[in-house]
Amino acid sequence: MKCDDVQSLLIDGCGAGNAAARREAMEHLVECESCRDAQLAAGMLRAERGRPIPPPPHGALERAIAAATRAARPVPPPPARAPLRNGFWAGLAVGSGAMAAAAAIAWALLVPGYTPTIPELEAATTPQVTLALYEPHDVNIAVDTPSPLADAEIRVVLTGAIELDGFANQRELRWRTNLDAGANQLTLPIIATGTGGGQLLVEVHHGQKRRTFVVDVRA
Amino acid sequence: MARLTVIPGGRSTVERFEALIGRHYQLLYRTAYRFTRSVHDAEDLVQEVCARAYARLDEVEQLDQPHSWLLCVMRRIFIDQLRRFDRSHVESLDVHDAATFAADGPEPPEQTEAALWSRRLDRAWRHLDEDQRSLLAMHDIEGYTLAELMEITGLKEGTLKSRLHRARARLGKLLRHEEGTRRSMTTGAGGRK
Repeated sequence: MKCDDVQSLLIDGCGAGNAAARREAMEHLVECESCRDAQLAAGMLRAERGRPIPPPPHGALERAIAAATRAARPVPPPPARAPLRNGFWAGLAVGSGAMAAAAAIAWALLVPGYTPTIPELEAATTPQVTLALYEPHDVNIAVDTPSPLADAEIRVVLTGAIELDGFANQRELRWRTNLDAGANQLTLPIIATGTGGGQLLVEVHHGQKRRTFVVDVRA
Repeated sequence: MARLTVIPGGRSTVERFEALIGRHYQLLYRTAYRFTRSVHDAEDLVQEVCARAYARLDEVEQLDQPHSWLLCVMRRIFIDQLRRFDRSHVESLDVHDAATFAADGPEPPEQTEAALWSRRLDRAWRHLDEDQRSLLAMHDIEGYTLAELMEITGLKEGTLKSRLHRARARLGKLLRHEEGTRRSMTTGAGGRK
C-alpha cells in the first residue's frame, strides 16, 4: 500500500469500511515515519477546524470594497468639444462591462425637433467601446439628470454590424420610463457581428426637449 | 432571455460588487486567515482578491460557483505574494492571533494547552511552502473535498493527494521537531534547578 493510499484511507476516510485495507494501512503506519508525521499533522489541523478565528478588523469589508473600486476608477473623460449647456442632461458616460470605464462624453445640441445625423454626432467626441466578436457584452450607459424626468421616452438605434442580444432583427427600440435625478443606468446587451463594428444611438425625449448620444462600438 | 433594462437609480457596478463581495466576504476572510494565520495579512489578501474580482465583475457574476473562482484567485495571489516577499517577510505581530484569541473557548487549563499547540502550529506553518499552506488550509482545516479542490486549484486528484501527503508529512515532522526541542529545553531547565 502506498503512502497516498494510506492517507486517503486514514485521513479522508476513502474505503474506511474495508477492514482488510484498514489493517494494511495500520501496518504501513508502523513502518512509515512519513505517514506517522502526516497523521500527527492531520490531527492538529482537524483540531484547528473547530477553533474560532479572530473576526476581521472593524471596517475591513468596506475597506476592501473601497480599495477595489478606487483602483478601478476610470480616468475623467476629456472635455467635450461642443459647448455644454446647463440643465436638462448633465451628461452621459459609457462603460463596457464591469470596468464601467467612461470612455468619453458625446454631446449633441439640444434643439426641439432636431435630430442630429450620425456624421454630425461623430464630429463631437464620441465614446467608444470595444467588444469581442459574437460575444454578448453589456454596454452600460449612465444618463445623468439634475432633476427627475417623468415619462421620458428612450429610443435606441443600432447601425452597422452590431445587434442587441435577443433582438437580432430589430434596429430600433423605443420605450417610456421615469428617470431619477442623478445617474440612471441603461444596460444594453450588445453583440458585435462584424469587424467593422457599428454605432449605438440613444435618444432621450422629455416634453419638447431631446438629447441624442452616440456610442462607437468597435470589434 | 435577453436583457434590456433601464435602471433608474438602480444597481450600479459598485452596488453589484458590494452585493457579490458581501455574500462571500466571510468565506474569503476565513480562508485568507487560514492561509496566513494573521488578521492583517488576511485582510490584505482579501483586498487583493476584491480588486481582481471588481475588474472582472461581469464574468464573476455569471458563474454558478463564484466562490470557487474567488478562492482560486486568492490561492494564486497568496502563492505569488509569498514567492515574492516571503524571504524578507518580517514576522507580523499578530501571528499569535490564533493562540491568544478567546471566544467561547474551553476552560483555562485546556485553553492553555490548546494555545500552546496552536503556537507550535503557527511556527511550523511558516516553514511550509505557499502551496502546502493553501492546500492544507482548504482541505484539512476548512474541509474542502478533493473534488472541490480540483476545481479550485486545477490539479488532478492524484497530484492533490500526493501534495497533501507531502505537506502533512512535512508539517508533522516540523511539529515533532518543535516538540522535541520544547522537551529538551524543559528538561534542560529542570536540570539546572
